[in-house]
Amino acid sequence: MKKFLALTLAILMLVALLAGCGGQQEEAAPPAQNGSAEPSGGEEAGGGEEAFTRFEDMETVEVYMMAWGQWDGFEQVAEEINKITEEKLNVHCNLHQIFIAQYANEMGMMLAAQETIDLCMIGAGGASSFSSMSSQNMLTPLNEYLPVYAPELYGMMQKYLPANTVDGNMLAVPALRMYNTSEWLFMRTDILEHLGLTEEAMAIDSWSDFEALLQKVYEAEDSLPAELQTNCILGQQNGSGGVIAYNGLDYVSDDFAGNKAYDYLGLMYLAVDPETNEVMPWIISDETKALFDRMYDYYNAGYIYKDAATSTDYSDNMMAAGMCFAYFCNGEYGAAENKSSTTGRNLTGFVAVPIGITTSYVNSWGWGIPSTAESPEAAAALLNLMYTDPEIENLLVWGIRGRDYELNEEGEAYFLDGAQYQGLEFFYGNQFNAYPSVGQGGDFRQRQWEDNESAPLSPYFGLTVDSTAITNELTAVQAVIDKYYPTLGCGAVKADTVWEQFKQELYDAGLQAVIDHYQAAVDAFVG
Amino acid sequence: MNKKRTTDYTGVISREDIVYQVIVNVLLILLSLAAILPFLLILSSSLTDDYVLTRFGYNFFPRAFSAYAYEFVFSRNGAYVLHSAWLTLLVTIIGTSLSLLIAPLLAYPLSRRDFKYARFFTFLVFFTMLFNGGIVPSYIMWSQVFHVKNTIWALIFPGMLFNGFFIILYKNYFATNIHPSLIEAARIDGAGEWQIYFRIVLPLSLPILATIGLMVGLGYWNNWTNGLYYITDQKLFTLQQLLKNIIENIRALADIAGGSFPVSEIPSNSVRMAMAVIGIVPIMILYPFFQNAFIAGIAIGGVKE
Amino acid sequence: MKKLAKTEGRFPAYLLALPLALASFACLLLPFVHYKYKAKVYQANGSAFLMGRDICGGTFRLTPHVLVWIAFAAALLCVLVAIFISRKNRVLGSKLLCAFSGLGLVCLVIFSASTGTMIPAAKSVGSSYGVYVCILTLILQFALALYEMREVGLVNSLFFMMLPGLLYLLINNYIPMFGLFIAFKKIDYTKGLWRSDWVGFDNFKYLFHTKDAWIITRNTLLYNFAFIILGLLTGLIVGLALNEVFSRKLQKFYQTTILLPQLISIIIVTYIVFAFLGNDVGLLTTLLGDKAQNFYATPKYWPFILTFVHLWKGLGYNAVIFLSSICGIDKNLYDAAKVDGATKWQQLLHVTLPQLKPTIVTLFLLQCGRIFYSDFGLFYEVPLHAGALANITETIDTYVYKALMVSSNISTSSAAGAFQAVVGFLLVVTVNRIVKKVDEENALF
Repeated sequence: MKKFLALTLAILMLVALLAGCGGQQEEAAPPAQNGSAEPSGGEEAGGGEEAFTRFEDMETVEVYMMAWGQWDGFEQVAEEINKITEEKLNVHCNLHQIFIAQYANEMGMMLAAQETIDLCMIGAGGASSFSSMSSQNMLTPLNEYLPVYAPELYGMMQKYLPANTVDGNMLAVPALRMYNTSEWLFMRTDILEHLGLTEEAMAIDSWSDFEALLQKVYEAEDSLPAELQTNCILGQQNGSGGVIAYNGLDYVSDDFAGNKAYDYLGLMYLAVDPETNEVMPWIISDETKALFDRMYDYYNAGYIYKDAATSTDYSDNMMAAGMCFAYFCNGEYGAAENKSSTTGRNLTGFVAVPIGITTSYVNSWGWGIPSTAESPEAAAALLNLMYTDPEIENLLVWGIRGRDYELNEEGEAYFLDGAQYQGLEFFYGNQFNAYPSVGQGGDFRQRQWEDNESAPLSPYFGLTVDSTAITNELTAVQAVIDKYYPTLGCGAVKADTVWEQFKQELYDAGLQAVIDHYQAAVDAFVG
Repeated sequence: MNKKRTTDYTGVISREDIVYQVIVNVLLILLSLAAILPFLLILSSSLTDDYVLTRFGYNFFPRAFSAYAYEFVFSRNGAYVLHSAWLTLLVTIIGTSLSLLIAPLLAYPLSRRDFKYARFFTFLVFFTMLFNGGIVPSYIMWSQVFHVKNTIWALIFPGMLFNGFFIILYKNYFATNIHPSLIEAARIDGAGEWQIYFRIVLPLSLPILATIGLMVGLGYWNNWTNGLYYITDQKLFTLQQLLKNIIENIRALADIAGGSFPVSEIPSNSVRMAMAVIGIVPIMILYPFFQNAFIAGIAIGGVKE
Repeated sequence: MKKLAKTEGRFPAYLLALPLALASFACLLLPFVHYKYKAKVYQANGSAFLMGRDICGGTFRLTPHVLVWIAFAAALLCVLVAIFISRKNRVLGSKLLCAFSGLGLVCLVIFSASTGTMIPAAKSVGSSYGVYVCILTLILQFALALYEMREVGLVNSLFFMMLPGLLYLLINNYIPMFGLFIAFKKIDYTKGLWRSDWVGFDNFKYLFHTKDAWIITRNTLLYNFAFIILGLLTGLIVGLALNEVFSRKLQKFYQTTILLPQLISIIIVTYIVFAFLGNDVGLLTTLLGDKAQNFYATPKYWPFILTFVHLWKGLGYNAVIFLSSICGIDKNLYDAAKVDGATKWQQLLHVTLPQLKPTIVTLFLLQCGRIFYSDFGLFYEVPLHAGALANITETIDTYVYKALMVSSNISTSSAAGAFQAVVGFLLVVTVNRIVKKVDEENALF
């Protein structure tokens, strides 16, 4: 019995001790407040005399970004960034870097588990793509936060914000970068020079010219020295068999000047005719069929990569490995120099079709404030700083001067050997604030900006379609496309032999429902 | 341990035995070839110059020798690769030891015919093999209740320690190979259940322990799904996850960006092969040592009476 | 009056339930949840969750939490059981103690996991140490109950042996099963998992919507059926072969090499297959010269290619499992057979195979349960998702993955998983019943 009593007393004492060590309790009476429930430190929203400058109390923001490599040096970069944000905004940001490969999975998981994320990058497909996050309500509408806490950002991005606006809710801010893209054609300079075809190559402005050139290179192939030999003449554009992009592009006319680009609303098999506002199943149109037939001729003539239908290699990879002589690809201003440095081979290139600025391209990368954010105001203010402050942008893109990069006389930056951190230009807020790379020229950003500004905006810019109602049909149609497109796109199969079957299967999968859904969206947008 | 054993302990080798040996060895040689040749292919392509590899394809003998792929992996990621390999080894050892301790303990009572609840608990165990709540609730539980995110325990516990399949295999083995008379005899001698288990049952079960230990170990070594969700800190990547990340990162970037990043980062096929080799070689080197430790049981085998 | 000789004169353990329960009550005074409001960190203790309180400056009312009430009631019931029931009927008392403490424990664990979203008006909400101390007392209570059960002979050492394993299964497998409800909800991230809407069977519709639903199911079932039968057969043959090898060294060598394919990840296998079958520079293509086929565009070869790859990869495991079983066979049986004049072949048929029957049946049943699952890497990656091969290589898992790529909706993939699990379960139960009728001992349960 004694033991029992002693034990009880001991336990009670221990617990009492712990209770005494407990933290402060909140007072029963509510403490004096300065007005209605407002976020700490913020001023009156709208209509106030003073604009927001900085927070009274230190706010903490959890930021999640993508990393494309392992960088030990990022910690110091994060410290430098915090020095700026703490001084200017009194905001401390915890920058988390997550590998691209893991990013979509990790974001989806953390949001499902309701973990606090104040600011996150949007992109990379899967659960972290804009369409996915917006349709599942993962993002907080920014309408009230941007004008108050990020006025400069709001003004700067006015033109492009509609791309990330759904039903009047601004759900994300697109990363400010080159939006104007075109379909380019690249050829290897060294082979051209060796065969003396450079002038002819630069003069190409029609399909017939192009074919003539391809034939000459094909016939001369065996006579080329070993280092100029390639597996094929024409490589593929993307990892699913297409030699040239089809989404909404019309190449029927022989003259390249007659090539047209339609907005494809983010679905590679549809296109909208701007004159009639009609949504067309572009993948089974006559124009596309003509292109498939042309590719079939090329494949049979031996120009196209034999394994194009199954290869998952990206076009730049193929060029870098020396597998092809020419390839089509999507590029932006300064693409020729860009691709030359990316692939390591000198390339001659020109624009086959200008595409302009489309919604799906603009909203593919950006920043958003998820619905689990605890400090959305601080996150918005941080975003503002990221877009307007060149120091932060350069810290994120280039790293720490002297340790990771250096500037030359023209104001171009280059990574040093042994750089402990390297970022990517177009990832973060404002690409135009970053130093240009060597070879682009000191005024490159200015020229880039002008190109962006002068590019035509698609008439359907700002239209995002909520496709949750037709997910089943989308999946089924995509499955049919995946079945036929790779072989059609590289010309391995003659279009006529499968055309009717292809069309039939598409409609069976629900293509008409998809078209109707998108047509309704377009009509509502235009009307 | 005898170096050679005869089939019937009488030392007489009959014609039948020779025929059997020939058939058996031919079969196994063919299988070994089928297993080794692809590995040699991987090894040789990792040592081939990448240009040659893409132009002329894979070959058993490198047309143009080049150690560039390994340089690439080790030069920038070098310290990480070694660190990762060491970490993965540590996780494998800890995880396998824990598993070999706990799992047979669970299975042994299930195999005892005199255990009242054997059928019930067997069903409980088996049920877990079929129904799975999915990764999301597991993640919520392990990271929010147990806080294993970004710790080494996230590589050991979630989903990996053992599963119903192994328990059933253990149970089967115990039921078939541990005769109840043995246990009776021990009990009469006054041994308690724990003593019976550690002194009699375990030593007789070395074959199954070796087998399942091997499977669990390989599972830990190959695992990258735990890291995918629970680990974002680079210092805690397992080897397979690290290698996979390096490749996938560039592939994802190429899909999305379509350019604007240094060509030296594009993982050529030879680099992919080199990474595969790096993922395989450590375990292949270590496996024979573990074999020595465990196979003693398989060699002796059977019940000693 | 059940009193056991062992416990006479010894301290009745169940009385310890009293101080432990008192400790649990005392924990209510400890902080359960900490949160940040207006930049200051506050704590709310257990009693706040029992009675309710106004916090956050009066803007939020903390209502009495049902889980905390259940835990409180459970601790109270433990006290009552210890005082009134255990003295008279220890068996019943121990069972009740076990049940109540277990209940309280589970409730508190769930509570501690769900504190994150409890107080919308505050930030950084999390569980404080008070919950954990309380959980600790309940764990001790549960241990006490188990001790009691042992004292009265309800459980013996065998039961305790199972405990660590069962605990792991509970944590790792059973608790996450609650996630199956995700399959029946439409997850809205602003509401979170718990408050999203129920949508019944909507998430299952996409599985049957496609007119390929039949093809997909057929593929999955046929492939798995072939894999199971052939896998067991080849594993058995190789296991037997390994056992027969004379030289120890050779045996070790073979064992090492047949496990090699297990180490090669399926992505690398994809490259190897491409290295053989590719159009441009594939080894087989070069060898066949003019007669080369466009493998990735011809469906008819792929059932064989995929089966071969699967067997190649999985052979090592099956063989080693069989080998270890064979090694465990009593050598005396073989000696007895030889005395009777049996040839090697007869020994195989009459000694080895019957002894292996339990293993074979078990493996067969276990794999039946997973018959609706497929190796995603094998069916999606190895054919390089070539369109022409779609009809012959599409399985339930690849279809679910493609749907996920379009909509990345966790409810739909959860629904698919639930579907696969349920049908697999029904199949196993059916097959197990059949096995039971034929041969009772070898049935799984």
